[in-house]
Amino acid sequence: MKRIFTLIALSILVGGSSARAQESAASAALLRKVDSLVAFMDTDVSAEYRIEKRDPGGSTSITVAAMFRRDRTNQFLILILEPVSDKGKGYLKEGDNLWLYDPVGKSFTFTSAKERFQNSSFRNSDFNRFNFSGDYRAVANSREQLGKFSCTVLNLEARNDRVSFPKVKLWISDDGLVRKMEDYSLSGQLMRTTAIPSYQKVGSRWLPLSMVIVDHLKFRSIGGKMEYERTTVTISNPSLNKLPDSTYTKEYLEKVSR
Amino acid sequence: MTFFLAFRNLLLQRKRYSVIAAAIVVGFALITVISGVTDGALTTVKAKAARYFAGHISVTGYSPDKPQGISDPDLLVALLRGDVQEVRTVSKRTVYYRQDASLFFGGESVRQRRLVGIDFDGEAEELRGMKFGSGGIDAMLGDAGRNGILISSTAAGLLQARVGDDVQLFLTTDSGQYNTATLVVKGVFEETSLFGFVAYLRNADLNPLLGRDETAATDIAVYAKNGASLDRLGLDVRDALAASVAVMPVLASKEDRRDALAGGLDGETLAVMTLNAHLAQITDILDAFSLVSYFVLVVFVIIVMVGILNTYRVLVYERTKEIGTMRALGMSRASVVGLFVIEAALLAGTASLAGLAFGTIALRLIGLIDFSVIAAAGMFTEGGRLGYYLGSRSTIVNLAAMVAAVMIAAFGPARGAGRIRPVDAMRSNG
Repeated sequence: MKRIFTLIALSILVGGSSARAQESAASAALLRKVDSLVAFMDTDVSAEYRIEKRDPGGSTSITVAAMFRRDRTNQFLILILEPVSDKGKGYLKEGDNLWLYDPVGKSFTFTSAKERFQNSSFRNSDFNRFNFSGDYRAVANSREQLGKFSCTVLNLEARNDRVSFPKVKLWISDDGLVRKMEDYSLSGQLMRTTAIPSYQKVGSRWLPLSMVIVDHLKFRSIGGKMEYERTTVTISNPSLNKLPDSTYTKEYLEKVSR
Repeated sequence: MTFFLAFRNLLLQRKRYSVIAAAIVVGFALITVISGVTDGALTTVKAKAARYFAGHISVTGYSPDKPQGISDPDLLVALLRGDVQEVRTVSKRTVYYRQDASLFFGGESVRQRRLVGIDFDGEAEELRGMKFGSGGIDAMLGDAGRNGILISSTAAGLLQARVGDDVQLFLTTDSGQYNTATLVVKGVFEETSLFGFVAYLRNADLNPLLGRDETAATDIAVYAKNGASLDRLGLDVRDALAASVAVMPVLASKEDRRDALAGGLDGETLAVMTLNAHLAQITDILDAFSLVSYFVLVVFVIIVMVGILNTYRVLVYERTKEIGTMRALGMSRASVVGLFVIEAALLAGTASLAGLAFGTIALRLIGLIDFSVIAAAGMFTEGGRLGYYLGSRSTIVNLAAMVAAVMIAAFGPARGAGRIRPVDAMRSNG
């Protein structure tokens, strides 16, 4: 009798861990799919980003920037077009290095991908493609309806300490696109919620059409209602035209900033 | 006898001396105010800097490719408490040196130049000098201080936060990941200068937020006993540590430390810096201010000396008969010279003491003025008020210099008076 109980317990254990392993493998596969759908590994991608930041109960500021990206070599170049006061300012990413170019002082300074872009909730690193499968592992998953999208919800934990957010929660629709993302600090506090309601197809890949980012650290109670800083990112004029290697150089950034 | 005569003459001639006495009074009052304010400003800056940096002598641990940190801070504390004289307090600190820490409250945010994690129970007495608008150090002691934070009036003003409010602290861990904590404001200290962009919390709270052990430390704060030479103490601290751990050579400034770090480190190495080294640039500014002030005062003293010279020439001329009578009665030439020089010294001494009194009153009045509206003054004021410091040594030196200057000016005419022959004096019309 004792042996029978032991066998039952063992089979439950083995079965449970096997189910967890399958679940984990499925989650990892889903993350790889998410990454592959938005990665342009065989060509360059360029687009215009319009970033509108609205302070809680306050003013609105708009930044327009041209983005040139080469995922294959982990490079991008961002050139600010508006506002006029920041026109010509640019960011150049080469591998792990990110440079900020100031056209007034004609100087490059080293900056961090983790910095806020133009003091908005959009971070410099958000110009990068997703790399969830490399940087995170799923620790839990579930199903949830998000508006019209039926989604798999993945709770992710960072595999390495290079990423800014140690914990992330993703809502992935059945077509493999991220529809909502919550970023958490190490202590587990929700810092940022990003909604990506729509995508645009560029070649065989996808690029968000618009994103809404809510900053949970910047909020104010207005008329008894909590208002958060909200940043809306609209991406337009996407192109897959191949760009010369010289695009991702300091010299090019200096030239186009004039 | 000569002294008595000099004193009597001074009283009899007081109307004649009044203008020159007034000049000495004003001059010495100015000297008192300028040296009192300069020394007071330096004392205030040093007190603030001791809290901002880590004590009068800071010991910081550096390792190749790692954030600042000391692997065995308790060993260093034990070494310094046991081996070094002239030490008042030794305490562990964790300083967040990356400048990306921010406080959030009510939709507003403010960046902090640094966060300082303190063992409040060990260092509280050294922090008593902080001026608090509300709350205070006591609220950070013991378990009551858990998850508490002290913020400056600058930060509180920008955030519209008060004591008791929950603020969000944002920072990055040692490995660069975002981290946050909800902390309760336990005190708002009055500070508007660059020392105001700092927040103080328990090191036991800060360390875990950085991904470190609760007992970790980046710095050891060493506070000197009153009157101790910081440069001497810096050397003693370095020597005490060098016997057990690797320590950088003597560092006279931040540039020295930068150069030492640029040279590369083999392993964990400690940097010992005195407050004077941390404040090299600020003390240079104050020294330059003192130099310009003293140049102006030297010019002023020269004008007073010329005034004394002319006044005494007239005096000697007018008192020729008196001098002749004294010489005829047997007073020696040296005594006549002494008489006039002592007269000048008494005049300078009395007027300088009056100037000291007026200067002190002026300093007290200046101390009542609230300079907090002038942002640049924040560095040198405590709670918006300009402190002053009148050291006995500098006051005595100033007094001696003023008296000596007046005596030198009076010596020429006095020597002329000594040369007058009684017979010539009796013939003169003076």
